[in-house]
Amino acid sequence: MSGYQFDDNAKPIFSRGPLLVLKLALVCILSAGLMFLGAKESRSLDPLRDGIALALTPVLWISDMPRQLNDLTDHVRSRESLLAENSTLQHEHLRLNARLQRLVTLEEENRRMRAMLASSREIHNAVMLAEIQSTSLDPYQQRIRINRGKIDGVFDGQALIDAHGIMGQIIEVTPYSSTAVLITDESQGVPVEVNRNGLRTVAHGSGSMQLDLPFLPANSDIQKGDLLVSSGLGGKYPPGYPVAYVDSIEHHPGEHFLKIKATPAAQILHGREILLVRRDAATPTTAQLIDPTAEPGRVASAD
Amino acid sequence: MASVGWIGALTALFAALILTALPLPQALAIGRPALVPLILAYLCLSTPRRFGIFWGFSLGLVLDVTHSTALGQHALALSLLAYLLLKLRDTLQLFGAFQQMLVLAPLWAGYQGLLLWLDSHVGQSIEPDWRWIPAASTALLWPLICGYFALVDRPQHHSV
Repeated sequence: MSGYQFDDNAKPIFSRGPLLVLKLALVCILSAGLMFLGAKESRSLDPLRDGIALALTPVLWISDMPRQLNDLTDHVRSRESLLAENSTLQHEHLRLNARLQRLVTLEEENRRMRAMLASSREIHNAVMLAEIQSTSLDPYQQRIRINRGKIDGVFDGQALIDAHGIMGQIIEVTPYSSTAVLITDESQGVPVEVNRNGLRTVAHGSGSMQLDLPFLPANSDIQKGDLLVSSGLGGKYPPGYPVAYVDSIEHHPGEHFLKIKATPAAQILHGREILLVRRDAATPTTAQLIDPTAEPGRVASAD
Repeated sequence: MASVGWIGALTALFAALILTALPLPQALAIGRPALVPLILAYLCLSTPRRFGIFWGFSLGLVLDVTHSTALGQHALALSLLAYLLLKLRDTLQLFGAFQQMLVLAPLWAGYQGLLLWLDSHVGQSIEPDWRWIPAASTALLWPLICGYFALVDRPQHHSV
């Protein structure tokens, strides 16, 4: 090996000054162009974003490992607790099945009444199961990444629900994963109606675990504990799903609007399984939900 | 500051990216240091022949994707950071790690400030009060990064 090496500390023969400024100007124009293009037509940069996301897959996979290790320890749980869980689940299953039986008749009745009203609103939507990969890296954004992407048929704007209510919507789709923004994000508003009387309003995310209902006048008929369901008016979220429960109502004298806080119905901080609502797929009837063999494949699950 | 080899540099950047993408509880995530800019800063100061503005730009695009921010946001901030570091290089090399830490602290604050400003233009939600904690945590990590690269470089010096 030669004893001489390039010494980075040596003064260069030619000053790098002007060249550096030129380079800087070039990348500044490039970045500004990208931001401008992204703001104007968000779709046009998708190939670039997809490419980088694909290259980043190993990084995301490794950073997800602590969680997967955690899962592994969960798997090695004692047999007794699994048996206990199994029996409670069986009870739950029986109980829910009984309730579903009752729903069949209700659904029939509902269908007849809807037919009378000439309304074609869907009662059930087909869903796809997905798992949360990670929650947002930025503490000021309420976002999650899920393990379903373009390949699985996820699309931009698709609604996310869990077993208890609406969670959010997809804002970015890459081939193998997608990012969703939760209804608690400050940028989000969900068109809702009070389940009790159909009073329509919008529930805004507050950046914390609560929603704000800023536009209800002081004489509105709304009570603590009221269930807010999605009205489906914005076109993004399917109608009729629980969104939040009214938590507190304040009225300051002299103000036109009530100060209302609501807690999301979805258990946003709990669990990892979520459902993606498919608006385009055929809707399964309750009979098929009870007996999946009735016509397999109607309740779509990507798993 | 001895120059850093490709393997050492790329390993450090890869590790920094993983730590950036690692899910943390909310309380810790608020103070998460900006590791990728930190490593880039060291590389710009130690190995300016290889690492400069274009690296800043490309790493910025990668950060934009990991943070789901508008493409170009981190790219712009990191390119500016790389430029300033290359400009300050001659002065900074006279200092020890702790003095460098003090000189670099305003740069991290500037980096966060620029991101905040761009955020507000692109329409993201902002909450400026807590945004300055990463600037402090990033600044405090500088001596550690210097120590890490000194350790990594040691075997090379023996072999020459």
